[in-house]
Amino acid sequence: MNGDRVSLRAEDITKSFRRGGSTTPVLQGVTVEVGAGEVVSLVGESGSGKSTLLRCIVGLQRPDSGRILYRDAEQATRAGQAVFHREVQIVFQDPYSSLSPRMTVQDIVSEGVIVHRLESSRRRRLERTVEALEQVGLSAADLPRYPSSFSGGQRQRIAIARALAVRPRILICDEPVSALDVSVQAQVLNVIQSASRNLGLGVLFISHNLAVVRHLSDRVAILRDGRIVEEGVCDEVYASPSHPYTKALLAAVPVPDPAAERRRREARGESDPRFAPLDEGEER
Amino acid sequence: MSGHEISNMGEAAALLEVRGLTVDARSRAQGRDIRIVDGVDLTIRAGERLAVVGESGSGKSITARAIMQLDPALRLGGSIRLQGQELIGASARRLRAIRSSVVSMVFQDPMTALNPLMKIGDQVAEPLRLAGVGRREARRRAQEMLDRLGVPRAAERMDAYPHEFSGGMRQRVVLATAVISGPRLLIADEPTTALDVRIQDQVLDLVMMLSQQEGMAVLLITHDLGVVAGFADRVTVMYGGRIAEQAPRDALFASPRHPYTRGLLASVPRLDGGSHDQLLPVIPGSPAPPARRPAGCAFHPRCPLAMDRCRTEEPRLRVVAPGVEAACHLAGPTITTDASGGEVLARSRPEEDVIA
Amino acid sequence: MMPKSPQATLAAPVRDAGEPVLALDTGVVVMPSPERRRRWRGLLRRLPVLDVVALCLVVILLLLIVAGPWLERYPPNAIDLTHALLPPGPDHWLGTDDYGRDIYSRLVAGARVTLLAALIVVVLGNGLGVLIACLAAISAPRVDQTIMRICDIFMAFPAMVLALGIAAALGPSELSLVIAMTVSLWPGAARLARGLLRETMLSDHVAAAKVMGVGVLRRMFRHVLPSVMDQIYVRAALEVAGAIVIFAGLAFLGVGAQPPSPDWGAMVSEGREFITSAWWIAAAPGAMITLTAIAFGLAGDAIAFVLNPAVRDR
Repeated sequence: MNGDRVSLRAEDITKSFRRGGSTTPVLQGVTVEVGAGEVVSLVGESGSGKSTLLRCIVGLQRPDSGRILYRDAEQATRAGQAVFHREVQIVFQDPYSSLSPRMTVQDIVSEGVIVHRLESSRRRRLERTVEALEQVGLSAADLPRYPSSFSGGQRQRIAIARALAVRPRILICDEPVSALDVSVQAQVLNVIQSASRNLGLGVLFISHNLAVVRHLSDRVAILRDGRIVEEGVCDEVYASPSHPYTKALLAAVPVPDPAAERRRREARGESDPRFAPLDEGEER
Repeated sequence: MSGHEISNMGEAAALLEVRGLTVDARSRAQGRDIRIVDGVDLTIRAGERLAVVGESGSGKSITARAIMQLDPALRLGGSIRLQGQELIGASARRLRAIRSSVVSMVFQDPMTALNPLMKIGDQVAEPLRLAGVGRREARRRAQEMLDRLGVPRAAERMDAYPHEFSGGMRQRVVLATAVISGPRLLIADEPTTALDVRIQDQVLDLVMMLSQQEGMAVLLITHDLGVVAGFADRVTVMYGGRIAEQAPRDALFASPRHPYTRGLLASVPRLDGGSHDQLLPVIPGSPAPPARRPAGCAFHPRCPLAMDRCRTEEPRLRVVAPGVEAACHLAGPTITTDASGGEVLARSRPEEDVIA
Repeated sequence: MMPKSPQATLAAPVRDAGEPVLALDTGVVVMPSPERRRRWRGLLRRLPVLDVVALCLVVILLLLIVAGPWLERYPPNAIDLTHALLPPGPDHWLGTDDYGRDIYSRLVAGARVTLLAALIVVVLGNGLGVLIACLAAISAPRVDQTIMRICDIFMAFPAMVLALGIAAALGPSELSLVIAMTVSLWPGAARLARGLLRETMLSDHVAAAKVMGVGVLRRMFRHVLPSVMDQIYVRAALEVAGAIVIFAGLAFLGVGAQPPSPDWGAMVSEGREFITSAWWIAAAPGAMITLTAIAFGLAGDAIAFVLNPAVRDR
């Protein structure tokens, strides 16, 4: 096993949900890979299966078939899991529910360090916790406070600090800025981008926001109805998308520029907007 | 005469005129009234599409709800005139008469806006029935509206229940219910935020279509500047319960006057954005909740151009260019007096290098 | 935004009025005392007045348990037939009963019997219930269901009936009553707690802990359980009121505290025959029971509020 190449790979993931008599396929043979130092984005609308894929990757759910490989080691083994839990970290979407309300910031951010026994002395644990906080633009003064006294953007940064405290290699971000105010989103995005650049983290960024994805990513994969319909280098995919779904998505994103908006609408075509072709899944 | 009044002279009477609107809410935790909306002036003319942009704590939703008089627990001050009639303090009867037929509202979450136990056909027809229209006629018009808004197989779907529809379809049903009585003004509070981007595009197009075909004015509340660029005729930017800037769409995007507007435009990632090797420009800090608004200019703690004056003196909304108003001590042109008492033209453009 | 060296910050801890103090060697971070005091005072001001009053009453009642022996004016069981059936007066604040025993002193002593027993029973019952709920919540669905079925079976018995049954089996004594009451209380707490636990286990912060590699037990006790305790405290406070009434009722029936124990319920029972002539004998303990029940009932919310550290922060 070559452990030198740090990468997270979800291979051929398939998952269906059974309810009553019917089976709904949610993921159908999805493969995604993130390597150290690169930002890979997974774009999907609601119902695309991106949440399920995320849960399968981090072990909150088990896929029907397929494997999760980290550093080429399959994640079924105990030993593999310990490394995985330390080196692969996740930031959730909702900053108001992803931090334990009864734990102080210090407890929250240092928990990973404690659980993985990464530092032997309390002093060094504290130093490491403070270091993580500072990396996200917070400070030691925030340690004894509780999440409820922070704003959404700050809470997301605490969540990122929690992830960074254990010095991960891969960071998975699940719509980390969707629930935040617009003027705050840039702050958190910058933190993620800096973390990737300065710390060499691989980032798997899950989002429905194409503009944010474009800004952040090196590579992008478009997920639709449980399948990857297109993937590649971000700039190339955005410049010349090949799949009709990708084209439709890109054509629908509004741009904060009146002239560009006029062009976009013209380019979208003369078709009656009411009856623009959507798929069976949406037109219920 | 203030510049505001000068620019209004000679125009047709406005459909909606909000002057000095203040909204207070009682906070039990604080034991006092909290001012959520602090002196808002808005004008919407017939058929005009106004976008109100703001974040949490800006008071944009409360302003919209105040126009509809939805929250009796809130204390309103100032004046809201719709078609010349004052709404604040109006009787329940008068409000009932104008709701749906003159002004109507659509909310963000299509999942909860519809009654899950009522067929959608009945829901769309309800405003007509309340106005006295007969059952058959109301139903016919409801179906017509659903058809017009692109609900496929409208005739069959009339008897379906909301849970049988997807998010985008539900929002169309909500829209149908809101416009079926032919209101002159539609207030839409983040109607597409919860929807996927393609559906968002469609729903906005539908609203635009209705606006153009029916001459219906729209007050669209959103945080998405891209939506604003495609939809609005005029834009109002709110921050901290007050208006920061108001301008025609093109002027706002071409030369924003208020540092907040400029910060927003600079910090939002764009599809046609430049290189992604650089960090985004950022407005530091976060919007303050209404209970903790700073003195002076609401934005000054986050503003890179803040001066001493900004900390103590609240900037008034002034005309700084034709049709453009901004509430910032630095935005001009304006006539002020200098230390010697003489009249001086202040700077005519704010700094270029706004956000680091 | 490069990672900063930790040394630079920790070397000079900021020490404003509200800034936390870092104690490097123990790795502990605390808010300085004046700040903490200020927060506690601010806390009480934010509660409705009624709750604060109830909270004070609860504190006083707890003090009665602790400081009882010093507050009694006469030995509670001292018989003095020459001073029997005296109305309330300067010598005997709440009068005397038919044996000449000072009612006030018996009330105070009774706190150590009735109230203490009620508190113990509620703490044990809820504690046991919560532990069992934790077990159920982390077990496989089959085990979970079984535990809940057992809960349901126990809950089918009214507390009184169960208590009488167990008291009959174990012989009437205060210990058997405590056991009986605990047994009747735990299922309700377990049901409530398990529902809350299961719900909390689905939230993001627990998922985050799981992904981090935090083990099941630590997740349960550090992440899931604390969020749930608020509702348990409120319920427990209400149950204290109920437990007192049940203890009183059982003593009234002759089961449980035996004479001459100054159990409040027993006192009410003994005062029955003197209702018209010496009403104070029954009225005093009766009022005490009512007052305690109301105080704990109202204080439930306030207790949960005060015990929630996240709330103190604002």
